Amino acid sequence: MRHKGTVFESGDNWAILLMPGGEFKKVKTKHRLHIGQMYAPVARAVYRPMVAAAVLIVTLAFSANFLTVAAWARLSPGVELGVNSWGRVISIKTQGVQGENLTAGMPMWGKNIEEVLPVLLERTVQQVGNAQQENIVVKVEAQGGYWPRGQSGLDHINKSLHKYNESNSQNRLVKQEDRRSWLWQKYSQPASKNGEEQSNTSKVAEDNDQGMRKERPKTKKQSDSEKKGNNNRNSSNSGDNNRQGNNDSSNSGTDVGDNDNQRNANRSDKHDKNDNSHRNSRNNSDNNRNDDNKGNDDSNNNNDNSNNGHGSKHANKPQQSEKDQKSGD
Amino acid sequence: MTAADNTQWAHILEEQWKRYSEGQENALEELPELMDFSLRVASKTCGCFIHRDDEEAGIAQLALWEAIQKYVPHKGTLLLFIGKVVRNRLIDFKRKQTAQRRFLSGEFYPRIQETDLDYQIETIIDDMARSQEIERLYQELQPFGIVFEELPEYSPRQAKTRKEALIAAQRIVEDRELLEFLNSKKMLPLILLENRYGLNRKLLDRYRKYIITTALIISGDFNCLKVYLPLEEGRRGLEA
Repeated sequence: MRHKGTVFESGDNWAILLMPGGEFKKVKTKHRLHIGQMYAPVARAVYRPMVAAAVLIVTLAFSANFLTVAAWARLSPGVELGVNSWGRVISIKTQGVQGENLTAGMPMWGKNIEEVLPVLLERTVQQVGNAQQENIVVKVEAQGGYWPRGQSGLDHINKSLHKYNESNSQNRLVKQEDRRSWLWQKYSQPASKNGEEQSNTSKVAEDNDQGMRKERPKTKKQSDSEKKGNNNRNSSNSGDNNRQGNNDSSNSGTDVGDNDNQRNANRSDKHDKNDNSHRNSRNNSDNNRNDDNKGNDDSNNNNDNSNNGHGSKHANKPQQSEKDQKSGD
Repeated sequence: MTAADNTQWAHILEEQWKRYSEGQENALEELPELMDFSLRVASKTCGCFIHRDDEEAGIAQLALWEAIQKYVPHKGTLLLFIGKVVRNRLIDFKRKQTAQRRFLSGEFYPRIQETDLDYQIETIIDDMARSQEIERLYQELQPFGIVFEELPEYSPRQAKTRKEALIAAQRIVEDRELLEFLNSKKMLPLILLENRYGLNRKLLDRYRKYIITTALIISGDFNCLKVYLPLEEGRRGLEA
């Protein structure tokens, strides 16, 4: 219940009241009051400005978060899509005529990347892939750190690529190069027989390895570790293993052959612990098995894929591998 | 204003009306409250403050004189009759105004308050009684150099402090010497209060204007305003 006071003096939108309890109070009023009138002042709601401030802060934080690019999806024809942590496209950059043609008449801002990316890929296939018969690279990059915003942006893009890959048997994503970038290749003919499909897949994998080697130059650290690995193990594959291991250790494990790689890697790890001398032979046999699955006879190329995530470990610890060798002998 | 005061005022008004009806034309001019009363009724009817210069004030004045002319004593009290006439005339005026301007725009007009007239008139009379007391208090505070606008600033916010200030005011009222000092010198007897009752000098200095105002309300004939002061608490404080 509100206490009523007596108006002692009043003006436009203000009044001086004598409140019960003997307090003189100056209050704001909506209209003019008579002197002597009883008036119950409306208690100033303290929570109102606080709630307004909280809502404002939340809105600003949300809009700031919404408008911050968490990850980039870069398509080879010159289109860059900036994705926020909710998977919404908030930045569209095009380079060259191809990029502009690709995005022309396609409203993308604010739309989910899962809706936009498949359409763009289809358009790319139509415009670029058909004409030049070359690989179309979709490079996915996190902006400003992986976790948590960058990672969620990456997840959205990867999810959209997975979805596209699952739904599309003709044109599908073939190889994940590393954590950040994806290589996508178009098949000109849909696979009708098992034999053809296998041969196509192996061809693509081969292409991907080559493409990956071209695209990713070795860093200084990697080359040093390769040298050490070569010196210690006398293995011709150790450098490749090291590089491939570094790359694939961060893979999210979603594309063709990736599970095989991981299986091989686990096996090779066990063999490292037991007997290093049998490692190459066992790896080769595993690779051969892997190659059989893919229908590829070239064991050297596949050997690169087989030693995922462990070559670097051994390259960093050459003395340990020597000990293993001795103990094995 | 108590019920007795209301009746008394209504009685005076009816006597003055009798004198007016007998031929003394200036009899009602001695009652300036009549115009205030009709303005209050107009204000309640329209639901907003009405100045003396407003159109509604002119209509209320005309209605007042109409009521005085048409009043029949055995049909009810004069105040109620004045209230009814003023209210009805204003409602007629508002309806006419709305009908005239309805075509032009959806302009907002104050809503006509259709509440119980008897209750309204009682409230208005109470308000007028309070306003008279406030006016009197204002006159009494002038020699002290105190205006109402200052009072919120010098009024203690804390209930405890307010109680202490009220105790000081009650001490002044109860001690004849202190009250005479206050009325004659128009100053607060600070030293006497401090020495005699051990009151805090800082409190007396800081809330001087509040203590003087409350002392005048307690000592004077301000029945409507006294209700707002917690005198019982102060008395308990005095006994303690």
